This record gives sequence, C-alpha cells and structure tokens, in this order.
Amino acid sequence: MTDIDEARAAMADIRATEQRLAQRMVWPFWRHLAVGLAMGALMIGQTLGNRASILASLGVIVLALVLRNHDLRRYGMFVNGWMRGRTLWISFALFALAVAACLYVRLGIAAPQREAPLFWVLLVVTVAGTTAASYLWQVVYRRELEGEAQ
Amino acid sequence: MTGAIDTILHAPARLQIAAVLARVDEVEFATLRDIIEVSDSVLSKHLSALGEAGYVTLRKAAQDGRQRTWAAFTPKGARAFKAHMAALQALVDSAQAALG
Repeated sequence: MTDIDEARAAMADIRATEQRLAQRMVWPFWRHLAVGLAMGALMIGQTLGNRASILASLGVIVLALVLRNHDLRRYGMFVNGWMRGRTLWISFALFALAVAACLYVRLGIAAPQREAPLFWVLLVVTVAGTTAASYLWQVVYRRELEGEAQ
Repeated sequence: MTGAIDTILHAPARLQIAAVLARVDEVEFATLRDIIEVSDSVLSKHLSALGEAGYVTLRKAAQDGRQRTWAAFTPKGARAFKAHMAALQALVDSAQAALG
C-alpha cells in the first residue's frame, strides 16, 4: 500500500466517523427555545434596572451551565457554539443580536420600556429569531459534518 | 508516509478519535466507543496513548452512580490533528495533480 493509498483510506475513515457523529447531533426543540428565552430574559432584565440586568446575565450563565451538564448526561458530549466553520458566523450573529437588542432596549426606548408596544414586538422577534438561529446552527453544523463526509 | 504526518495519530482508530474530539468540547467514553465502533479495550488503549502524548485529557467523574470517563483534546492535540489533516490532504492533492 502506498502513502497516497493510506492517506485516502485515512480521509475516508474520518469522513465516515464525521457522518456517524452528524447522526447524533440532533437537539430537541426545547433546547433551541431555551436559547431564545435566555435572550428574552436578558432583554427584560434591561428594563428592570442595573441590579436586575446583572441578575438576568447571571441567570443566563447558570442556564448555559445547566444546558452543558444536560448535554453531557443526555448525549455523552457537549459542543459549544464557537467551533470552527460556518457555524461560527451564526454564533457571532447571535451574540451581536443579543448585544444590539439589549442596547436598544436600554438606550433606544424611553423608560418604562415595558409600557412601550415596540419593546414587546422586539422581544417576540428576538426570542423567535434566536430560537430559529439556534436551530439553524444545528442544521449547518450537521451539514458541515455530512458535507465533509461526501 | 512522509512530511508532517504525525506517527501518534497515524493509527486509524486514533485518527477517528481525533476526528471526533476536533468537533466536540468533551465526549464520554461509551459515546466515543459507539461512534468509533471499537471495543472498550481498544479505545482505552488508544486514549491512553494519546493521553501520554499530551494530545488528550481524560477526566473521571461519577454520574448516575457510575464512574465515567470524559475525553477532550488538549491545544497540542488539536494542533497536531490539524497539521496531520493538512499533510494527508497534501498527499491526496499531489496524487490527483499527478493524474492531471
């Protein structure tokens, strides 16, 4: 067997492994909704004053740890959102949306923000958008694994 | 094989382990075994070798009353895998270029 044959066989093994990994990379809807609701909690925190916004941020960090532990127990592995590849752009977009939404609520809507219909519209759009983005992340991640498996 | 081929990652099972570790933060032993499709003893042997090379960290923790082992890439392991993949790809590309 030549070096090149060995290299081809090794690449084929990796592609097959990534394909099997892709088959396991399916998270339930509630898992994506949790990301959206965490974003919503951050936004609502902005309307409740500094202390509440810090508490909301801490709550989101705790939620992230709970989700991590859940994934490790349920799926036997954890994938953070900042892996290399096209999914990284979705993670950046999610992060930018979170920062932009919180800043707009804090600076762009006159207090009390929760009395402004715009706030609630923005909240629903952000929760739905981030839930969808989380699902999109999963789709792109699986396609990357499966695509590299072709 | 020649070039930047990593002899530690050369074994097919180790390369498959590395391919999984490159895509996750941490993976549990039984899950990894099922993905790689090897026996417990084979996986254990290869994980030990990767650990001794400083490519993998192994963490043991109790879960549901049982002791479980979790594997993750070290930065050194991630770099070695990336270089190894580049070397494999270069070999395949050179063969294709030779064929025209």
